[in-house]
Amino acid sequence: MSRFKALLSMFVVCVAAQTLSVALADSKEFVVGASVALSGKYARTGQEQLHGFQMWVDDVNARGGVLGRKMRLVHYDDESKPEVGAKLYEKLITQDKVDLLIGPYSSAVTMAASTVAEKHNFPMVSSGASSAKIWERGYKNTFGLYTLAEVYMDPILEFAKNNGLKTVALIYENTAFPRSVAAGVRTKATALGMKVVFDEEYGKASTDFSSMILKMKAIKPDMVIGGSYLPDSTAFMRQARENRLYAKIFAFAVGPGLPDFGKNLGADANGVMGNTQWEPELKIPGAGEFSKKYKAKYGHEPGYHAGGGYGAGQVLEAAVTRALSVDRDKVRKALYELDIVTTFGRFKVDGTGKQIGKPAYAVEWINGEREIILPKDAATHDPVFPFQDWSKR
Amino acid sequence: MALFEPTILLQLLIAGLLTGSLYALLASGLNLVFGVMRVINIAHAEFMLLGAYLAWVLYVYANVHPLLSLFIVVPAVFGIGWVLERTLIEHVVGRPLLTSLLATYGVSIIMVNAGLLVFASDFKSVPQLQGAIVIGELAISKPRLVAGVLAVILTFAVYLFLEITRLGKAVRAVAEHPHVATICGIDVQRIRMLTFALAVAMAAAAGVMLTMIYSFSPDTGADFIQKCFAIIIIGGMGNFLGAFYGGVLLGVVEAFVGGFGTTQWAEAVAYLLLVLVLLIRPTGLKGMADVK
Amino acid sequence: MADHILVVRGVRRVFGGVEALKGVDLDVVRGSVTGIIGPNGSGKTTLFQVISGMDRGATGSVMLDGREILGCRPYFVYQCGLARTFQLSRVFPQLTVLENLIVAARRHDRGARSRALELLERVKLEAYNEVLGSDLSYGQQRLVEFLRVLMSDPSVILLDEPAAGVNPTLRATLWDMVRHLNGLGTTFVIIEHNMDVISDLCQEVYVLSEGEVIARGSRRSVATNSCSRRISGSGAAHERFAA
Ligand SMILES: Nc1ncnc2c1ncn2[C@@H]1O[C@H](COP(=O)(O)OP(=O)(O)O)[C@@H](O)[C@H]1O
Ligand SMILES: [Mg+2]
Repeated sequence: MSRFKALLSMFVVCVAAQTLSVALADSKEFVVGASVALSGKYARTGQEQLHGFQMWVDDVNARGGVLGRKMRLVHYDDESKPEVGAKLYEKLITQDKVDLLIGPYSSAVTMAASTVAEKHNFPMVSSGASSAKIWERGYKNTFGLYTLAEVYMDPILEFAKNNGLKTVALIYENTAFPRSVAAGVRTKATALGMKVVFDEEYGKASTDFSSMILKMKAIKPDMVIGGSYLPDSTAFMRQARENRLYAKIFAFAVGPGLPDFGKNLGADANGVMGNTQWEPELKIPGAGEFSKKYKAKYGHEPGYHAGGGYGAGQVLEAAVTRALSVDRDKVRKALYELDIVTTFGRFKVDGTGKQIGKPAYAVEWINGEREIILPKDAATHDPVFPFQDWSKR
Repeated sequence: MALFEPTILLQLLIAGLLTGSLYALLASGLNLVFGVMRVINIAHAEFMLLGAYLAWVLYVYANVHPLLSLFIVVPAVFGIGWVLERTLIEHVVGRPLLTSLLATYGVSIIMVNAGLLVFASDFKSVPQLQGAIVIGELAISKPRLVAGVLAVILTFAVYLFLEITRLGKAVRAVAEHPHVATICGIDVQRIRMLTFALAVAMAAAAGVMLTMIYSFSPDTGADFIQKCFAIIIIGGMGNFLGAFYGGVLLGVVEAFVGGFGTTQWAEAVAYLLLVLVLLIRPTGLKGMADVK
Repeated sequence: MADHILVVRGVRRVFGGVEALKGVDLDVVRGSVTGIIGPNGSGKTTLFQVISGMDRGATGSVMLDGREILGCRPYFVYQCGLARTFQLSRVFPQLTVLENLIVAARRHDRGARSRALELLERVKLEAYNEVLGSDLSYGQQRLVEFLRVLMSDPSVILLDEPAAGVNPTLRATLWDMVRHLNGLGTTFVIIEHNMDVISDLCQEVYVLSEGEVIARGSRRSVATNSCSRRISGSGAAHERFAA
């Protein structure tokens, strides 16, 4: 019986302490809410993003907070699922009554979460979405951080044009993000006076590109661009080698930007170009310092999701500083007006909240390393061009 | 476009045959389990991935070539299948199809999530045996050639086992009449354990070879299991050879549709083929008429 | 005291509310042919299901050669030397005739193939060795099923209406085989409606009605007592034969 009493009193003390701390915190802190993918498909990515958030919170508080108040992060696991994400944002806004919102990871979860934010007219800095569709719904409260899919390939296309390439073979998966990439490639190529001579969509489960490659060989395009992810871009390059498909540039939206591309392809990765949202080596103010600190704290190099997490925090910080309050309307106004460079790159949005300031960064696998090649001011290496023929490797 | 040139047609045919034989290896195991136990193993492709991840681990941490790791991975997965049948699948045999569907679906979910926990959702691959054999105008992918040939050999070996050996005959007897088989002195439960273990070991073999062809992640299985379902319906539910023919047919048709149409159509062709075959032969290519 | 190879004691089997077997006793003498007769639904097939291990929901006791086999699994019962056929013939349709026999051989029997060939020759089915089970006539299927039972050289064979639906020629072959094997020492328990066969083959006959043994007797008493015919046709006569 006395054991029960002891437990009960402990429970009462705990509840009291918590209530007290919440009450105390209310007057002294700004609370930032976010849902993070800690399980499911994007678990790994979500974890890195969370590290980015947390590092930003620590850094802000070490500087004395914003407007004299400390920041506190409240986050929940959205299991990489849109429906869970939507519920969590509802909870963050109505129950936890957070002061500021950061968006979830992935375009799909952001789609769902942004609808909730819009309903409550609550500005949200999205740190993990790049599909333009999010900003085509007339919403006023979603602020993008990532370079949009539509402009992913712009620097590479410009580079190709400058080197006299004329024809493009375009392939892409039949899902939202790759289609956006493809649409951007068509627009940009036309604007540059280049010709898309091969344009084919493939299914999500495609593992065999040999038929596609055979057709491409008959056309002999100057460059091949893939709106693809890691598995399809590696499979394509393997089969390109197997079938001796040659082009002066091979470039893919997602695959080559990831370390696994090189691990999975070995030496065959060399010469393949791709895109990245962010790299620790990027010559952006603060990026190098952030990466060093991050590595010291978590034991591995930060990926772009971590950089994006940190950058989202910096954007919020700048907006609150500019608005001199966390009043939703004032923060929203500030976010529309901001034009700053964070650790993650430039932040400037258009009238819909869509990111238009951040450029696409092109990477290329050179001697087994992933190097930034474009734009020039951020590059770590000159582009290696043209792609070395298979028979000479 | 010079698509109708003989070399291109031959190239497409070879590509299709090689992909098809890998499908066949995977699907015939699935069909064997269905034939013998009337259980559709939704987790079948997860066993393929289990094989792939084991091979990947052996390659990355012990530098074992995937073709060598076949000798370790296939028996290991056989053992896992043996135990899993005894502890779980055996309890749903003879129950309504929905029960076994749910049970194996559960296995699939557990395996995928365990995979995500251990390996994250990153895509893995093993860069071994890369490149192609070039014969004049013809280029044949080395990993696909090896995988295709091995797949045919393995499938054929299992087929011979079923046809020739006493144990194989017993497996077929259980597939036809489990009750009669049991009064013929056949330990039906052991046969089911053997069958399940054999089928998932075949899937694992396919997975090991997949590491050199494709990048995979823990949820890659979904794409494969869908194709397998189409294949076993095309080939005839429960028929081992039917699944083999169905797999090869699908591979070839996919290659040609991809060549003359687009790769996207090639993805859909499994289902078109399925409808077509069912219209002409409701029981599939080599269907069993007595399966409800 | 005779030497009993199969002793059944108090076997009860209930399906839902229906008591299909209400405590059946059976004593089968080694090397004998025992007949079981009784009207449809009296529990004859159920008794075979229980003895052979196919139906494991019964209580009581079944001793084969002094060993309890009630509750054992059918393949094990088979390996202990007790084999049976089904009332409705069931060969493996997609296996050849030869394969149909070979699967039933004992596990390490190296002579299975030659034994199967020999049996098929004995019943003049050797031309059908490679024919699929499903392509046989019904009578041939029954015969193959019977031969299949012989593959393991069992000491006790249970036959459930083996001659039903079989043409007279094959039927004669079947009974000849039974007689021949019985001469070599195999024990038989046969469910059969044909009283001529019963009186010709069986040393002892049990009459089952509504799950109970209502009579048991010798061949002679069966042959001379017209009652058995009545029972075999309509059942329900509680009469006891002189042993
Ligand atoms: N699996 C079963 N479920 C329910 N009732 C059954 C089952 N098997 C047999 N019975 C019942 O048991 C009784 C005996 O049947 P059976 O042994 O087939 O008779 P017999 O072979 O003498 O014609 C019948 O009333 C039958 O309906
Ligand atoms: Mg009966």
